[in-house]
Amino acid sequence: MSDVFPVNLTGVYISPGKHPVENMHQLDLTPYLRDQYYLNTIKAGGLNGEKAIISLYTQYHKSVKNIVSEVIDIYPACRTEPDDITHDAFLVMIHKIQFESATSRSLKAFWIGIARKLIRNHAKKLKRITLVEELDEEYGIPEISPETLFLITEENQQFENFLSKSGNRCKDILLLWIAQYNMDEIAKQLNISGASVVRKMKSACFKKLKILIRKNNFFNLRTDER
Amino acid sequence: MEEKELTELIDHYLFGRIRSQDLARLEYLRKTNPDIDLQVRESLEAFRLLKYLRYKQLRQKLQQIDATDGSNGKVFMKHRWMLATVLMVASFLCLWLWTEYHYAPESVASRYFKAAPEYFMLYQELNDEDVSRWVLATNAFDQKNFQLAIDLFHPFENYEQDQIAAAARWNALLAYFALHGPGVVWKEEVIQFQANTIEPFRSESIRLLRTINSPWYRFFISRISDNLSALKPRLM
Repeated sequence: MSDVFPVNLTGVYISPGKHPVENMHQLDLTPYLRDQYYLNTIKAGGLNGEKAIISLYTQYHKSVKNIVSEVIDIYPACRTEPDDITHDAFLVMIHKIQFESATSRSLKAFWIGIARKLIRNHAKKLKRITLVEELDEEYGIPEISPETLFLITEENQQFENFLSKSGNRCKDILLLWIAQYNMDEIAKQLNISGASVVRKMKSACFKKLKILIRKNNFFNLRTDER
Repeated sequence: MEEKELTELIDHYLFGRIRSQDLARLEYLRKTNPDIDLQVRESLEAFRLLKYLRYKQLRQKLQQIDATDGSNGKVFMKHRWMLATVLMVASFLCLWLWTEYHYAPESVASRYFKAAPEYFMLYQELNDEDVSRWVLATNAFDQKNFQLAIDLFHPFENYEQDQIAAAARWNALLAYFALHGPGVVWKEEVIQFQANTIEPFRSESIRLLRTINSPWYRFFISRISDNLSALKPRLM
């Protein structure tokens, strides 16, 4: 986490050639540079990562949604809403950036590409579309299917209820931890005295969660792993 | 291996930040120790559930952004329509006021008025009395005292010099137009004047008649101006 750094937007940036670049608004003019900043910051996670996620969404979501609507029109069998596909694709992209170290020069193109795959797979699943025979072509099914990640299943909801019962503090700590906040940031965010306390609380909460899963036997522990 | 170290190793594994030699070590531990394997599997399951919660939370944020955008768009659209309406009304008012001023008989008469310059009068060898009467007539016209201007220009219409006579006749016709508008009698007088006069008065009279006979002028003066004249003082 520490080897990736967000570009300092407020201070003077010293280029590798030792030229101070005072006008950091150039980030607004160079999409690739801006995307690189988003990529690094989201990968690093934490508070800045969260801000970058929201900023990235705000930046591109309208144009992506328009394109998604156009693609959905091509597949009449696909009955999903453009909003849902846009959100799903965005979440898959964030997952890939944060947990699979995905890289892309243009995040907008990356986002649209994922959305396109989701739409195609969705249309294919419904089997109401006649595609030209493309035997060997894979539509690049994302390794993480949005169904498993995002669908509100009965199991997931039961788990959520149990987690809420075990205390909102635990839930908050674990959610911040998974958003890659460091211990200091979590302490600051939740008004806890120090990082070491947070570390202990997080370990205890995670253990509690695992016990909860084991005790209630919600899930048959899967054999397929990441 | 200490528990703390194992926990850190599993954490790195969960976040996909584990180094290759640590991964090999972890795999070996899982194969040789069923408890560690179970711990990793439980951690993976718990992590998956937490990810589910995180993405659910994130999705709610995205929906909030969409909702905010939607409401902002509606406010903008509402304001845009209001602004467009205000601009249209303002444009219409401006156009109407400008046309009202531009085509008012007084304005038209002032634009076509020909004040003979003094050197011209000296060249034409006018006597002092005539010069002063001409200046008085011009001043009366400028001060919109059109009846006096007609009275003062009238004696010059029978002048020996064509230029002076034509200018006097033209100015008198314009003063009459400013007072009474484009009546039928006035139009006949202008047509007659145009047939017998010299340049540049002939061209000017043709131009004036063309303006007065134009559809826009007739539409505005005869329809709208009469209907809206009651509103004008209130709006002004």
